[in-house]
Amino acid sequence: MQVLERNMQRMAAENKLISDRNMTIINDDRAARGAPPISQEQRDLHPLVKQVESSGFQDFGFILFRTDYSNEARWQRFVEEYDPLLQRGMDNASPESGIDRIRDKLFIKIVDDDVLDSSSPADVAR
Amino acid sequence: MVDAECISSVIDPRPDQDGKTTPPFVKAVDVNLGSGVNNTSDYPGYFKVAISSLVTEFYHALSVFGQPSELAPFADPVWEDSLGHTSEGSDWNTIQDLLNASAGSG
Repeated sequence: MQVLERNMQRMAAENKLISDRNMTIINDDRAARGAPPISQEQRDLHPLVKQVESSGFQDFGFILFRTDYSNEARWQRFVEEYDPLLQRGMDNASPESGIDRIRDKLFIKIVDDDVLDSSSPADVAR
Repeated sequence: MVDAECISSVIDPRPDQDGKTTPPFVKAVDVNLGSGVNNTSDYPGYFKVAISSLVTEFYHALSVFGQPSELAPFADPVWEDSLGHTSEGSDWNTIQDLLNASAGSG
């Protein structure tokens, strides 16, 4: 196990050296055509952060349609417990990923209307 | 969408026959489902997505792949990332940790 870990660390370090070398070449090319260099910070950003910030969106997220209205107590438990699960992925991201910069823009709309009771996926799609 | 099966995955988690617990999920519904576009016998137009992967993995993957039907094959049985890995042990975090460790050791 220790040998495996050392090998993985060595491979990661080698890949980083290759990546740094390639980034130097890319930034030299960018400088030659007058473009600003790509910073280490930009490289470390999570792809979602780059997507949201480059798009200029004020918010992003999903719409959730509730289709089971058989038990209100179970639904309330779901509502309480799903948000920590949603946040977990962002909590696990490294500080350098920049995820915290877009957390306030996350918007999950829950459509809670019993006209949707027992709706099928096809009904929801319409 | 959140149906009874989704609610149960969150508040009644239980291990499967292999002892693995299915991650809590919601169901991603392809907006083209009603029109019949992209629907095949292998792709019903919806699939399960782990709630913990909705924001950090699924949202961006949709923009990369363009169509939900391209992501559905990786739902086995719950979509966690486009490589079929679990979000808690994602390659993204593992690679970052290794790079940090190698930087610290010089």
